[in-house]
Amino acid sequence: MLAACGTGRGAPVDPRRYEAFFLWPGVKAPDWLDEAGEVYVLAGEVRHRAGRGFVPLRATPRVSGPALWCVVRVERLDWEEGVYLAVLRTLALWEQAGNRLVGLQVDFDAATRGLGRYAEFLADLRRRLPRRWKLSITGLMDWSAGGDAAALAGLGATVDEIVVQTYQGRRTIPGYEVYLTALARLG
Amino acid sequence: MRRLALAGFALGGLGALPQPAGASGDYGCSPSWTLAVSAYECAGSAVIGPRNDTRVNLAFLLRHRTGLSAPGKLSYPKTEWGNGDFGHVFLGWEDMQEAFWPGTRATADAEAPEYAGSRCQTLASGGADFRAALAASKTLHAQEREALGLARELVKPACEGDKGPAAWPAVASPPAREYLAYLQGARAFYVDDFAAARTLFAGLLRSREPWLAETARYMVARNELAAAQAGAFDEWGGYEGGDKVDRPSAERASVALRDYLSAYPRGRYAASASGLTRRAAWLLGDGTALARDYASLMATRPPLAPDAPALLEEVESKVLFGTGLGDTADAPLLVATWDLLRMRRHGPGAQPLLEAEFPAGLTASELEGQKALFSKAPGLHAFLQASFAYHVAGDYRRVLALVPDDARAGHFTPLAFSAQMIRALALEKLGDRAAAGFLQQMLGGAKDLYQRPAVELALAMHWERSGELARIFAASSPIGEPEVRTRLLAYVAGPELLRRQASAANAVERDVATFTLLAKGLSRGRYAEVGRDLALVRADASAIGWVGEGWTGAWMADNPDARAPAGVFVRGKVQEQYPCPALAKTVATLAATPTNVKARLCLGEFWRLNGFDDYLATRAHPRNDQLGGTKDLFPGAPLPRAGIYAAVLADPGASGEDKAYALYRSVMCYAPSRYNACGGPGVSEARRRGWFQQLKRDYPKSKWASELKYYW
Repeated sequence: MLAACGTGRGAPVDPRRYEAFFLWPGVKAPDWLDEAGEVYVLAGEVRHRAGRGFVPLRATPRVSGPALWCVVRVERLDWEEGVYLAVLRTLALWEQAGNRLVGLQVDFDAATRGLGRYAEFLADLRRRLPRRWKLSITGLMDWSAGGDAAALAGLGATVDEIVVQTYQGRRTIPGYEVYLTALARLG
Repeated sequence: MRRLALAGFALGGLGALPQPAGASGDYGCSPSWTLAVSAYECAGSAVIGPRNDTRVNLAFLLRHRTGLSAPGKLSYPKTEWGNGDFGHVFLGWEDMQEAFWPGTRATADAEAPEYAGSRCQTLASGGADFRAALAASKTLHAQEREALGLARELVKPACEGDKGPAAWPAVASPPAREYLAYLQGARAFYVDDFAAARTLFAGLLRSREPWLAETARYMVARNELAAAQAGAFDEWGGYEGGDKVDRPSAERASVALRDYLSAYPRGRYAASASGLTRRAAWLLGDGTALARDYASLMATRPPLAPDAPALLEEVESKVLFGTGLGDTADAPLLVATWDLLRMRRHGPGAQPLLEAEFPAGLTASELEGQKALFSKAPGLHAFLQASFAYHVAGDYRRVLALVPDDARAGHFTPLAFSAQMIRALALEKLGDRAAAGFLQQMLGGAKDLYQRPAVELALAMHWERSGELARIFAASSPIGEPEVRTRLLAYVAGPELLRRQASAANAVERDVATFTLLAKGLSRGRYAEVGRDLALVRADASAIGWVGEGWTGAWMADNPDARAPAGVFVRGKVQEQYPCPALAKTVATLAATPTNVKARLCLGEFWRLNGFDDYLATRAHPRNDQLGGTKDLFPGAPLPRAGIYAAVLADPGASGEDKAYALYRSVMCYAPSRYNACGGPGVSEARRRGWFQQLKRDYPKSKWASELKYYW
């Protein structure tokens, strides 16, 4: 499954026109977010220095309407056992708090040339993740433009979805529609 | 399916206001290679100022005040991708911690307790304490002790969402009933029933069981704090703060914490309680009290203690970007740090996001009015005034008046170093020829980490601009920073200097020089020279390093494979579908006949197959205010692949098969993204369609015509 992201700068957002949303920490959730089908909620980060554990960035949500993806922003893949534990516990806490939890999304800026190692990491993560939860990852625009087709296919076998990032910082990359057309052709 | 990103950044979180001005990607950070920067950058320097992360400035100020300077005892952090472009010139907060508090990060958070980040994180430790208290109690019967020990397990479900009633055991003796009441209070606390917990804990304050009396007093306060903030989180787990905080509870918490600390100044929860005192002040938005508490903590705690970085992070997130300092903060280091942030200036087109959230710029009169506040630190106030003159007012003569020349000092504290460097930068702005001599004098005392490399950057920029590149590469040169030297080789050096440095002792520098000499020579048509210079490529030179847009921090890594890939000119790929000889052969042909069609196309193949497209597009030359930003002394202009194909198409002597290949490659320059990968100005879609149609029409039998199915 492929999905596009846009940003709502300039024009008011009609939530009914979109199926899913992404919520960063520090951003106040608009009221209409309750009507969304699915929301990707950034829970915390694993920062790039080894030994720094999982850093939570919000309290446990208690959301009654939309289904939630628990998103973890990841800067490195050499996780200590404590990091896996903390992430899995976060998922459990979110579920125990009564949220409809779809699964875990890993938001990692994998270099196109490092996709092979990323696939190994994800396969291991998939094994650790209880089956009732899905595994999603974000993908970069250049994965299909300059990417290794075999490594990309390897990711596809492990994860349930890849959400393609068409923004950098908070701006949509110009021409992202064209890129997505090219990507669809590859699929 | 359509999705929408509600993106932003955490104003309440760490590193809140800054944005990565020099960032190259989502997480990476590339510095502006100059010290004359008045905007925030993720890459800071040893010069305390508006460019630096507030935590970096605060840490330097703290080191200055305690007179800390440990040259030789500390070492630079190892290079990783987060700081890969920094050399030893630049640093971020992570690097600062690693350099100045070595060894303290490695274990942090690695073993987070269960329920970390939530109130329940004390569930396990609380249980252990409770059992120890039961064991130590002299009044409990054995049976009660056992029943109460088991009953502690009834608290745990509260942390897993179970808010239902618990099946408490029946106990009879007064002390046992008190212990049971404590457990009921704990459970109520964990299920957010703050009213019940309040009553239960309050009832134990006069218990004769010492553990119960003390713990209950502490829990009264913790319970009030939890109550104060329970409503301050929205359903998404985001902290809303402000009027969502239950202020009466927060005030009761504040009183209760003081109450606990005065009853048990060395109590088992004293450290936690003093931390929670700050949380209560934060919830109440009391910046003045917070600033006072932090100032006193920073003054009394040893600055090299492993928890000092965490304290600085807390200061930043809770005061500077939290409550604010208040108007009467008696906290000179915090005020100075905030003043420097308010001196940040953003260049045109670099407006910060959420500009309205930024604090107003500092004014001269405000700074003047702070004189009394800095009465115990007059040097700091003078430094702030000099910083203001440099970064805000642009009054460089005033900088010189405020900072007397002390360049020959034997060593520099962080503040003294920063002041002298601002003086040097002001001399540069004034075009004063004494600037280079001043910087050379500073080299003697610039001993602390990150100091000397900063001086070298400033000095190298001066000599680059005064046309004295040779001094930087002379045997007696004081400029040793590998990043400074290789950037100049990659961006500015002419053929002679490159040829000389291609035989340098330092392998990294040698490879950068060789790579640059060959890449520029070949792309600028100096084929005869390249034919000779190919002999400079060492047998062990990397053939797999990153070409990209040219100089990259990756070239400087310890890993020899990552170095500037001079080896591609000997061992790189030369052909795929279009047949080509070894590069040396192609170069020899071009040296004899620069317009030879097959050799030209083979040069294009070499560029394409070895990832040179971005390099040849020459977008990466630094801005003229940065190191390496002066005019490239290597003559000529590079001919990217687009130019090669255009020349072949325009050549009446080119064969049909070669023209077909040039058309095929011209179209493929835009596949599949429609971005031009081949350099040159780029052409319209109509033009690309034209190439496609010409290929199909004029060369229908060529394999390239049958291979190409689309244009982009």
